[in-house]
Amino acid sequence: MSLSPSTSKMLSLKSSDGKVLEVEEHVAVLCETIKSLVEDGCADSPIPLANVDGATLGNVMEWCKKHADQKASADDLEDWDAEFVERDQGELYHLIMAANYLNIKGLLDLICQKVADMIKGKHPEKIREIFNIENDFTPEQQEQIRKDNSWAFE
Amino acid sequence: MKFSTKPMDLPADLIADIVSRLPAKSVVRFRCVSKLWRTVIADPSLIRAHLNREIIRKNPNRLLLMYSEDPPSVTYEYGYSVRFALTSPEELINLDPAFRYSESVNLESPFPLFKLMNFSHPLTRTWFNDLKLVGSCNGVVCLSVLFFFGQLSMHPLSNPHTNIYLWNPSIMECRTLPFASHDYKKFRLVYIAFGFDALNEDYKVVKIVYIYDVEAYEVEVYSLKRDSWKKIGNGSASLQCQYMYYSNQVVVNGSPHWIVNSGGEKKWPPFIVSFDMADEVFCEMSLPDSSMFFGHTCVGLVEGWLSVVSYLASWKCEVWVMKEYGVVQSWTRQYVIAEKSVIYSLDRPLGLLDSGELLLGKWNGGLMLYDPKSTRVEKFGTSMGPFLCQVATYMESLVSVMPVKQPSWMDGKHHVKQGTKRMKITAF
Repeated sequence: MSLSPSTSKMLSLKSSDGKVLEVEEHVAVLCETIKSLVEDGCADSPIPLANVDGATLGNVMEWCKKHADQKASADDLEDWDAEFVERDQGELYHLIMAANYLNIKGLLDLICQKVADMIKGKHPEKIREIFNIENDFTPEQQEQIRKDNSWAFE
Repeated sequence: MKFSTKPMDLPADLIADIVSRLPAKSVVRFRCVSKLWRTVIADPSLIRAHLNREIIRKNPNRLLLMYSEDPPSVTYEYGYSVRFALTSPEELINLDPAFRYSESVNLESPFPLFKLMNFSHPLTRTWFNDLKLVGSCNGVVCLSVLFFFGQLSMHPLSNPHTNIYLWNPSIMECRTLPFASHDYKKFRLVYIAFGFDALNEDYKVVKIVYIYDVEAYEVEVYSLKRDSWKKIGNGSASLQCQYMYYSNQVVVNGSPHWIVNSGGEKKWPPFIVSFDMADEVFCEMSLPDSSMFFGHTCVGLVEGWLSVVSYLASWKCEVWVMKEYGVVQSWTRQYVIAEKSVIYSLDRPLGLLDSGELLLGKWNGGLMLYDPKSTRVEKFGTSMGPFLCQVATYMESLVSVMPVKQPSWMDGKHHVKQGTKRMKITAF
């Protein structure tokens, strides 16, 4: 099956909140999940994406469109990506989950790296706050782990 | 706005992906975020993913420096203090000369014994007579410490009390190896090498000794996975020689490589020997046209290629690289250095910087930077030390040198190895 831009048809994607987005096929197939549906011939009706909300889907497709553009140079893409990830934590969270669900390696790499840069060198308390994680260690366990790894907190 | 609104909804594989991109120190810190994070961080697949990223990144090229601030005369009689510093070639050049060493990251000494003796770290003072930075691979550093107990009138490598350590400075783990069977016999130490067995994902140390009682050589291999030594025979006849211990080693594809200057049956020319950590066999390799060699030679890594420095009788020195690993015909002369001041003190090439300059170790300590284009030489720490400088290229990793330890709250039926304590050190 040819997926080149010239022959690309439109696909409709339906988000979890019922929004339908029309996307060129050669853009949408950057998502491995959608690509396998297209290849299996199951992409006729609007494709339901139960785990991705409309706003996030829009952001994901914006990224896919840029990266499907064969004219974009590597430097251009790098600059564009750097700007693309300048978002609040909530948006990043939704993007990372969507990139994982839709299986877009490039986008997942980008966001994971952004989050890693964001949390690098921070204290565990801050990590729990950012990710809204419950501290499930007992105070004794917590103390022991801190003691064993005390040098890492200097 | 919070990153996540519901607790614990970032799946483990995404946590692992993010964590694999973090510096080792951050990863260690995050062990106490939650039980899930701790489990993710302890997983071998995370350690592997983190290592692969470091290998691909290759940059910055870290250097592990081991050096002393005591002049060699103090060293010989009273033992010496050692410092370890983790730095990069670029940092070395850009730092003020006076602070070059003190401003690089000082690592805590891996020797708990010395801490017990109330020696402050990182400056530790003790009574070992010889400390060798054996080698470094995947972030794991191998050190050997010899204690001679006033037997210096004998062969210097006769019956030394030998402690071998595996140390991961990025995660502050240090392990003392158990004694090999020959440690209880009368022996002469011939060589210690360190490398990685990729097939079994195991770190191994190989030790060659000469046993006086039976007048024979013996080779034993230590496996970190098994935490024990295994005898593998006596090595090839050409390895059976005395003067090898101070040859430096370099790890290529997991295998340590070093130069044997005068083999038992094979007296000349010198050759390279490597030890295949998976098959546990020695391999020999010819040096480039070695008819010209004169005196000391050593191995190094230049852009990932195995390299050797050869000293010519004409007061020149050449840096050769083996462009196709294992193919003797691919030895290529990369540089010719005619600077006398360099040749007098050159030990081994340590790496090529982005600028094209070559970083060289000096045999009497310190470092030199040689620019092949301008033939300019910059030296570090010549008159005021550091002394006894040994250098290994180094990368960060999460590779553990400790036995598998399962916290009580973790589920599953992991086997906890008995009899090995964290930071165990043998008293003597």
